Amino acid sequence: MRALHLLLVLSLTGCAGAKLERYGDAMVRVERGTQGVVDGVSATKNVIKQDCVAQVEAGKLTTEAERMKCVEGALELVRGSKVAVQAVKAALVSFWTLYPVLEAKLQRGEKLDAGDLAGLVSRSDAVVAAYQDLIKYAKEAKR
Amino acid sequence: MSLSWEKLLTKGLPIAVKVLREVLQGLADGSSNEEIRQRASSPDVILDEELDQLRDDEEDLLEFIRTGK
Repeated sequence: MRALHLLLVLSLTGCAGAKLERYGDAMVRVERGTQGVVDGVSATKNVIKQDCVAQVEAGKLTTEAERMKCVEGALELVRGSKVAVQAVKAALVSFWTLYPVLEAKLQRGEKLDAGDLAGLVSRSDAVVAAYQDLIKYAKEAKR
Repeated sequence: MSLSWEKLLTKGLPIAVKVLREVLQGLADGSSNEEIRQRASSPDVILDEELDQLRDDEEDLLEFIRTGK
């Protein structure tokens, strides 16, 4: 009886714990996705810059204004991505600040209340929204 | 109403075991848990490398505009 009770309590705790961990996994994936986007932005910037460097070597783009014009798309992409990544970072920091608080609660055998769950959902939603903005921006800018 | 131990054992226990198995499977994924631990303990450094990379990219382009190199 005692063993069964313990098993059921553990399984219920495990339910919430597993759910919390799934949120954590999802946030790790968003972070990895962001790293991928940044790598893509850097690669795009390098391609544009190389083309412009080639033009300089061919005797063109003799003024700063001309060189600026050549790389302005890349500069915009990098600057805009920086702003978007900062937003993703802020959202992730907010999520990961809450995460150990909820984890500790579960480890003490307490249940997550409606406020806890609402906080978890709203912070993870904010991460996803910021990440979607980054993707959207990077796609638009690369066009 | 008397508790039906037979129902509890035949229906409840398999569900509990299934959930426990899923939890243990998640725990077995060591790298993901380690990554979660790192982020939960030091959230402030998240994506700092990526932001540094973008700052370097910006500086590289500004340098090209100034010097052509």
